[in-house]
Amino acid sequence: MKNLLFVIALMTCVYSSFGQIKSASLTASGLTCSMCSKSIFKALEKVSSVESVDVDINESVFNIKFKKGANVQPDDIKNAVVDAGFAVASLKMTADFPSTQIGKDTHIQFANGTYHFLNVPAQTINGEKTFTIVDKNFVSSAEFKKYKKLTGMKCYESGKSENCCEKDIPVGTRIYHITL
Amino acid sequence: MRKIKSIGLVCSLLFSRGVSAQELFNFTEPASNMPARSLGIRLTNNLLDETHLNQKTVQFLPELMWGVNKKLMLHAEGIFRNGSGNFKPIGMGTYAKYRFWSDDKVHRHFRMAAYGRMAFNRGHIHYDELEINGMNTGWELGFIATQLLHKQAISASLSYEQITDNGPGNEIHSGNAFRGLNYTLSTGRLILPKKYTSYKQTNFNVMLEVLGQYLPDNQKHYVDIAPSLQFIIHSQTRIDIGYRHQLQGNMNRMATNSLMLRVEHLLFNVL
Repeated sequence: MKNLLFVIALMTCVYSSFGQIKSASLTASGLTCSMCSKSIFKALEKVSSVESVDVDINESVFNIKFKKGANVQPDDIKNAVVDAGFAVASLKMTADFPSTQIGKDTHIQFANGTYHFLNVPAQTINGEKTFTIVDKNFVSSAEFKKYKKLTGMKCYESGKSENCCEKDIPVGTRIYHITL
Repeated sequence: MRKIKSIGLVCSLLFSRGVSAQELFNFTEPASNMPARSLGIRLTNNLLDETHLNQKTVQFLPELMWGVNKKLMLHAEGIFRNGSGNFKPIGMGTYAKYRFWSDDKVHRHFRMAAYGRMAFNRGHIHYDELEINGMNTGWELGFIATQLLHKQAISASLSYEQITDNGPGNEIHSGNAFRGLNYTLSTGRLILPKKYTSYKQTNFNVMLEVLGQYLPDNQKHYVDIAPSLQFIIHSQTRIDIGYRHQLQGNMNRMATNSLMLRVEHLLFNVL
């Protein structure tokens, strides 16, 4: 029975390559003042994939538009906020998906990255979809603990591929854990 | 009595509910750092009322600040004074701050940092007070904790400071203390704007700080209160105006009253 479940889990690790991340909505934490907000704004503008940033200073929300065809890496966005001296409270990204079957623990490869769906029911996604990154340092520590308990998977804790992932993915590859 | 009433009024203003605050304090540093790879230029003027010499002394501290990475920032400063009539350089100093703890949530954080300061100074030593940021040669090590809570910021620091002679002819007077403890408590709030609409809005902050020093070798001490105003222009340039007044103390000091005027400009992502 365990072997059968393992085979099913492996089968759900679907690999495909498509799509581009078009925009993102970032909420930063740890700040109130406009000088602090501006330091994040300037750091985001400096990220090579970013075309423009709109900000709601009161809510610490940064709406980011990415350059067409750019290699968008969520870690670049997170690092810009952290280097400015603050933290990411939430990062929602919007991308165009072709028709794709997803479900709990499905792995997909798109936009030059590997993404692992957590806590989503089996479904087909198609077209524009917004997802939330729930990795460490992309959510509050309380939320990270919640997802860690929920998944119990090693790759979630490390943010890198482990034995629980599809064999084709080399161990140590960066994996972004996302939910819809 | 009038002084106590005034302090009470300022305190009630600063701690009233629903206020917004900033932690960019005028007389102390918060536990937070400046952004990585950014450069700051800070020009501080202290107008000191040297009652012993019956003169007003101007101290000018130009300072360069560098955000090395997300946790470490470094300062380098020059120390100039016009005490003997001519305005001349009398020393230089360095400052490093390392943020080792951060608990960030939306619109709030709790942070802690360790800091160190070293300075060389060749000015005359006339006083009990220890101040390596302007007066003495020596070093200082300390810790800062800062809480930002729904836009209200409160910060406290504790440090140990030790001085040596300011070169030949400017030795520490026999019997004077060469080591001391410093403590600070700061708070502040944002008065304007009420609501942010752009980075171009000028921010207006009010701060109140308590600055104390204790010299264990001779049991001398002072406690100062330092109210101040701050304007932040284009979310990038600070103008600070502060007044420092001794509440109580038994030290022979350079000045028990002083005025501080500072301009600071931040250059984002230049390094």
